[in-house]
Amino acid sequence: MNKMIKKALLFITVFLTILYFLPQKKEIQTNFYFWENSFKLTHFENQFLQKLKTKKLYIKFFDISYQKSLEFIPTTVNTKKNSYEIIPVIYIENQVFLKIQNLDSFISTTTKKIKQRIKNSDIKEIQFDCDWSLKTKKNYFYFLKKLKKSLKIKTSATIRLHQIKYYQKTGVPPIDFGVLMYYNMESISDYESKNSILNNQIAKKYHYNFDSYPLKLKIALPIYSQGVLFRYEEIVQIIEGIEKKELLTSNFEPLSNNRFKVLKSHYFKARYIYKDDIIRFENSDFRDLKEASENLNKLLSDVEEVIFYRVEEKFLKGIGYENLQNIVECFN
Amino acid sequence: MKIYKILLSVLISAIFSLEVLGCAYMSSPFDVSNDEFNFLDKRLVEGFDDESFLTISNSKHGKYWDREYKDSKELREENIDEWYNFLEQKFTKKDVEEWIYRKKNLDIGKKEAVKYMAMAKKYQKYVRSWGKKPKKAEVKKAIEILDSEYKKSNSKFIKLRYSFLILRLKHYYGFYKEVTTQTYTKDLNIKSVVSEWIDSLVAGAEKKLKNRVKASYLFAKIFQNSKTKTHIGFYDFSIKNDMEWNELMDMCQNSDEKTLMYAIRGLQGGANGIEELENIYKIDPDSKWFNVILFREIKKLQYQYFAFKNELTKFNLEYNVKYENKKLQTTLKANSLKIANLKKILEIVIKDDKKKNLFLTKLASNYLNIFQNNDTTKIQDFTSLKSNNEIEKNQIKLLLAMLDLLNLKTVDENIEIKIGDNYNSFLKNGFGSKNYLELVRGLLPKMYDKDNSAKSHLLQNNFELSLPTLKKDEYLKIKKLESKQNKNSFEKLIISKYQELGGLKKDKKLYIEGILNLKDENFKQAKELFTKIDDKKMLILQYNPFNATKSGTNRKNAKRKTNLIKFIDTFTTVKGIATKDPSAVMDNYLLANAYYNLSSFGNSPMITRFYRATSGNSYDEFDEELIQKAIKYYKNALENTKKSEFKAKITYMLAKCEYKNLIIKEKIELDYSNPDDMKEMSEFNKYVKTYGYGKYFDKIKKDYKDTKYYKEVIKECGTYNYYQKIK
Repeated sequence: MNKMIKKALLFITVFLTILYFLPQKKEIQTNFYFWENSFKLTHFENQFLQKLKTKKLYIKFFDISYQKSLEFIPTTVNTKKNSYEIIPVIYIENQVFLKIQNLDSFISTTTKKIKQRIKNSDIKEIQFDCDWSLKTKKNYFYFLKKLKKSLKIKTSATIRLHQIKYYQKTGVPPIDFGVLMYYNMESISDYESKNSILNNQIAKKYHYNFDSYPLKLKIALPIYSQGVLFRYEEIVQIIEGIEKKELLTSNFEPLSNNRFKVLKSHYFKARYIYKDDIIRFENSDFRDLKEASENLNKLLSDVEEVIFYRVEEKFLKGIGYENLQNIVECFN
Repeated sequence: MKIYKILLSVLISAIFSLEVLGCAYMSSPFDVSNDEFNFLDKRLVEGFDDESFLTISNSKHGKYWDREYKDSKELREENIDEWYNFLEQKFTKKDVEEWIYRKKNLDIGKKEAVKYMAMAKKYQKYVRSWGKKPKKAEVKKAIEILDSEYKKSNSKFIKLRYSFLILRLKHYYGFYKEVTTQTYTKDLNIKSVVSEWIDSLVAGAEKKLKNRVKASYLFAKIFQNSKTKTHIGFYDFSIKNDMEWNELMDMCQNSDEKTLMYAIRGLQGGANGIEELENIYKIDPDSKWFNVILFREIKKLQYQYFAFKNELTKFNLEYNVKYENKKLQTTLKANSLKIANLKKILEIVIKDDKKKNLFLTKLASNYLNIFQNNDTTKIQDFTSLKSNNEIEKNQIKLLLAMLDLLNLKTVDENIEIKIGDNYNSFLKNGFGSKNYLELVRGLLPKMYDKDNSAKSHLLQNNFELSLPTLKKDEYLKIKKLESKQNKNSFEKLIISKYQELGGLKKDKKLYIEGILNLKDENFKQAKELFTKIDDKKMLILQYNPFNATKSGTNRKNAKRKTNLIKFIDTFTTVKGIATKDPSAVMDNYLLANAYYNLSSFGNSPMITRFYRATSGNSYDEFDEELIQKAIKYYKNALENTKKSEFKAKITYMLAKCEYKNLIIKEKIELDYSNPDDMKEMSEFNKYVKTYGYGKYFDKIKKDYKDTKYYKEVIKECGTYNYYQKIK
């Protein structure tokens, strides 16, 4: 009997050891950014997110800009009544750090405003989004350091591709981890740009120094679309949230796969557009996103979270559940 | 009355969150918000001289705040004026202002007014954006109280103000229908700024009720008629589709109103002004809005044209867009198409001859001819431009004077006199002098020979002394011109502008002359001049010019501040020794530090240049020699010292010099403002790979790796570490 038990125990031990060394499938979190000024998810959006087992929503809490003076433009988000973990995102225009006269006072105001917004809520992390430059690096990093100290929670920040390739010059922000924004790759204002949102060829030019970049990175991928309106080949404005089918009407003449000429002046998506204007439709389709993810997976071995920009019913429907799953699977 | 401000701020934030941030208008390299190169007098646009909308900036924010500031200022002033008159001018306006806005006690004697003010202050908290909100029952009670006071009052002035308080509460607490059906303004029928506030509340309530077309119609009227709510009228005008636009057109009662709607659409950030101009013309050729839109379109184009004609701004413009050359080319191409399209329309309008006053159209057409032709000597035909109106006559004169300037090849006394007289004439007529002079400043300096370098220096530098480039003989010529007896009108103009900007007081003159002597290493004269300065603070130096640190700029605040006189004494002493004795290690080292620090890269370039570069990578023509001298004396010190720590330090300083020397030789313009470009990084790589940069970095590693100084370098110097990684 004793022998039997010993044998059984040995078998269990060997079995468990084999299991332990078998390659494990990582659980990669699929989360989203929410970027509207007031927070509300539709029934479809909620169901879609639940199916994806989305745990976190990165929600814009403030826009901080500097026009003639410092401006805090808050969004309206109720942090309490949510089934998701909310990560507040603070968007700060780079020029804030260029123009600000009294940095310490700005830091204290920002801290106060954030504390006020997250009071009595279960916020565990806060994210900062600022496309810092060499001129603002010092101020921005100081700001991050101070905020981390006073908020006493995890901090993260968005990182652009060039900030990895040239990180020794652009610096590494003093935060717990970064979120690599894998979009906005071509110049949006250049008429010749094919698709400013995602261009894998351009991205490849920045595939350097990922091995030595000192911060742990999460990945942010785009699933949004937009129209870029040109007049005389000069950019006029961005039409957000546009769908390609909206351009397939008698008011537009397709010039190529993603360029459309306005045939008569009319109101479109709540703005007036003029005859002969050109709209460049931009999006990130499944194939491009899959390629991007495969490329990124070669560069980063331990991605634990993918954040899609941004949750909106039409974008979710556009990419589809299966495709999103497929994209995230690339990191396994 | 602070409630108004609060309400305003609530409205502003609402507008911003809904409207301004809703769409992004893109900026062009030519975006300007000021009045540079404007040759069009806003008085040409009759009945509309609002700078906020006639200026060009595509930035919605900029325009909004300009106008909002103007509105809030006028709102306050108008309100104070009305109270001042209501109180029979018994108090000063300042007292009235403080009584309204700063709770100052004023024994006004009118019980009704005192009670009203108390009510206004009491219910202020009901409409503020923070704090606890009252219950609906309390709000209803407040409305009842205010309504009862309204009824009791016999003064239309007070009644109107009570009605505003009532409507504001109703608006704030969602009784929109009651706001839109208000009859107070009609019943009371008095002219007051308060009616404008009520109109805004009504329009806002219509918007809340989702009657967007009606709301836009009302906001458009507010934009046109209100003195204090123009910005709200403009930015809350919101039509979203063709159906709404057609409904709006049906709502308009006459062609004036219709053209107003087109004008508001044409003034929006992303509008095609040229098409809206055509639309307005079709409805009413004489609409004032035709001129408003035309004026704005010409202003956009003229800035771009003249900025490139003017050598001074051309440089700035090209410099500003150097990383966006493609963007610049796109804008220039777009402009030529815009000019051609606009010209076609104006030709039709002139040919039609339907407008009562074609002056602005013809003037604009002439400007377009200029913008289209690079050879401005060919443009001579201004026969169509005639007028008896003084403003228009001044415009013709300005156009001709400007063309003369553009065609100018040389300058002599007669031309100077003509320019001076033109300037004075434009000044007298109230328009054009400033921008005419801007063009003069941009075009004339290159025509002056060396004898007239005083004039070109002042013109080029906006009538100030450009201390970084000022040469001694130039300064002496400026002094001579200043004291010349029979100055012509142009010389008088230049000198008066120079003196207007402060001229130079005794100490400053001595300081400048001292610095100019230092630049030529005339230490004795420099010291004599500095000694005569009364304000010794002028001579204090922030950094020690003999100091060297691991940072590129050597900037470390000196514990004990030195001054220019002490600097001269030390410099002459160490220079005297170092030049005679290369083995005098410390003197050679200090002299080398001083030369490095006098360069733009060091901590004290202002000793010979009056300024300190803001970035360690700006440099000028004097730097090469200074860096060469620094290298020479560092080498002497290195060869002769026996201390390895000191050798390591000097080697590191030589590495700094090697780097700066390469930057100068390769004429690299380093700019940190564009991280995407990463020019410096790629240039640094190029130095290392192509020019073999790093001689001294290698040396310090090879020969002094055991020194304490070397270990500090590894810890602190990013460039060194980067070099070791990429080489």
